[in-house]
Amino acid sequence: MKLNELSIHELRARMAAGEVGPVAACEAALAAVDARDGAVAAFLDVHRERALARARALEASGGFRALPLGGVPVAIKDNICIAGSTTTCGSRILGKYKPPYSATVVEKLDAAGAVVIGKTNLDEFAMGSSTENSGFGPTRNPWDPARAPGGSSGGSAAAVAAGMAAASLGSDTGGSIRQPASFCGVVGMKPTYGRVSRYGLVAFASSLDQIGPFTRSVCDCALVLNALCGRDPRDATSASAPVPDFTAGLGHGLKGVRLGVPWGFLGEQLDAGVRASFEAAVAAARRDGAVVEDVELPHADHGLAAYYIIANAEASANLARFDGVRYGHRSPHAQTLIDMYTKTREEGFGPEVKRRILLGTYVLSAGYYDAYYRRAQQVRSLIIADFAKAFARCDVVMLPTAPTPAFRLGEKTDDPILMYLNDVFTIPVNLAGLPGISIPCGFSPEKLPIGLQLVGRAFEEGPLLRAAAGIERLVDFPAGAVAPVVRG
Amino acid sequence: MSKIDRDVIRHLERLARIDLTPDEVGPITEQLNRIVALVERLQAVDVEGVEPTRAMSHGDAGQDLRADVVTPGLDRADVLAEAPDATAEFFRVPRVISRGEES
Repeated sequence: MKLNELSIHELRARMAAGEVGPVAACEAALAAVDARDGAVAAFLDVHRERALARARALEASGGFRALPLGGVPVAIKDNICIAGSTTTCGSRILGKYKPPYSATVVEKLDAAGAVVIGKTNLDEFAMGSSTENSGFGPTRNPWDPARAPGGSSGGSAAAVAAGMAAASLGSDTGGSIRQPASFCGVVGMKPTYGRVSRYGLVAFASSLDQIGPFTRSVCDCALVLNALCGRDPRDATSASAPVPDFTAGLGHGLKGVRLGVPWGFLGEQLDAGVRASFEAAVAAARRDGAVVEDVELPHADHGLAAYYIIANAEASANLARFDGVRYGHRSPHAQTLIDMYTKTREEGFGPEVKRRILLGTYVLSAGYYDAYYRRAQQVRSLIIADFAKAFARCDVVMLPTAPTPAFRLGEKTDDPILMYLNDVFTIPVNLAGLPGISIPCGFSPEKLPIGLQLVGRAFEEGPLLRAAAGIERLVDFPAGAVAPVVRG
Repeated sequence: MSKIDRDVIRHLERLARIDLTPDEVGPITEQLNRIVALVERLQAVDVEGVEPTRAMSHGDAGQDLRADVVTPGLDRADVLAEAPDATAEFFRVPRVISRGEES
């Protein structure tokens, strides 16, 4: 098997055996980028020289051997800051912005020995479900270049799926890690709200945003998560909950694990191929010893509406900082200060971002606050209570990640509501602040990957990953598969 | 609920400090009305007596305040280097006060 297609676990084993080093791993990843990213367009910026220099330094010191991710090539979503490297958020308004500081997660990956090979494409400010809203053009799905990779972390998902990185980081506000993981046939996890520091993540919706990993296996997901978690004084919302070794017990299997399936919530919105694949995974889990319970999430249906109020209200405040004063684009066509704000934002933001800021402004404006924003926060409480009730009867909730496999590029760009429906199964998890993971569970009749989603109790990523590893072994999807990448 | 028309859009543009381009006004108005119709479904949910979730937190997150001591921030020159226009010490912006107001 090619070096760039190995799992982190296997790559590290070869390094431990002295067969390969960080330089070879880095060169293999960069060669895969050269060969494949022309067709995929996952990367906005490839840090070729910096990555090779870093790999050489790790190799020369020999220190990589003792580090948990020593010499592992990783990619970072371009809304996560790396000091001195262009960070665009997929937006023209940031342009060539080079932050003077790095995100905590980047420092943590660095400390764990990982080698950052570049920054990946996304929907502008992480607003979207297809990566088509990027100000720098869409990313293509490595399984079918006529289709979207999902989003908003589409570049990070596609980079891992196509074997251009062993792991990557994304951010997930309403499904932006799990849905592209599902579309691209990789593992993607949104940890518990507060688990991972968001210092250096450009904020979209602060009560929902969370950073998490993409990998090609559950074991690799646990390895990366080990490096990311923990309290950070620079992010007051980060939690000081103890961080266990998430790789422990991954071989335990499903015996006695209580899986709750909210059949009533899945309803009519499921594609037939997704339903068949999901039902096959539930049946396989039961045969393997899991106890499958029927659970209810009676308010989850209202998650989408509550989300589009809460997320956009928060976005309208968070994105006020892009005003042409401190960084990025400033309109050259303004005479006064107010003119500079409005023209800079007119020129710099794309239509989806404008739409969301205006909606957020609307629901927060005088006379509407109680009817929209407060009511959405109440519905959020009901969804949190739904999950609490479900977790009295099960350890892990199991549901599809997205209602369909990857759709065609352009298919949903004219209809924002159709696009938003992609996230119907992932949004409630963000609203409740719970950890969720998407793992591949099969293929559609068109040979597109399908994902299933598992949701755990707050801070119980350990049991969640153990259940995911148990199901990963049973499903009809080749372990660690790398997408074929055919040119469209 | 009221419909979002051209006047409401103009008001929102002012509040959000965003000018829509002439091409954007039509589609965004139409889409915002459809999105508002979607979120209106929440009016049917019984929320009587339900406390709103104002902020997300589990356990002690957000409660653990650091000691009240000065810690280093970002270097001023590094920060100003990214500004579209700056002096050695300040961000520079277009004139805020019109000439008539100067004394």
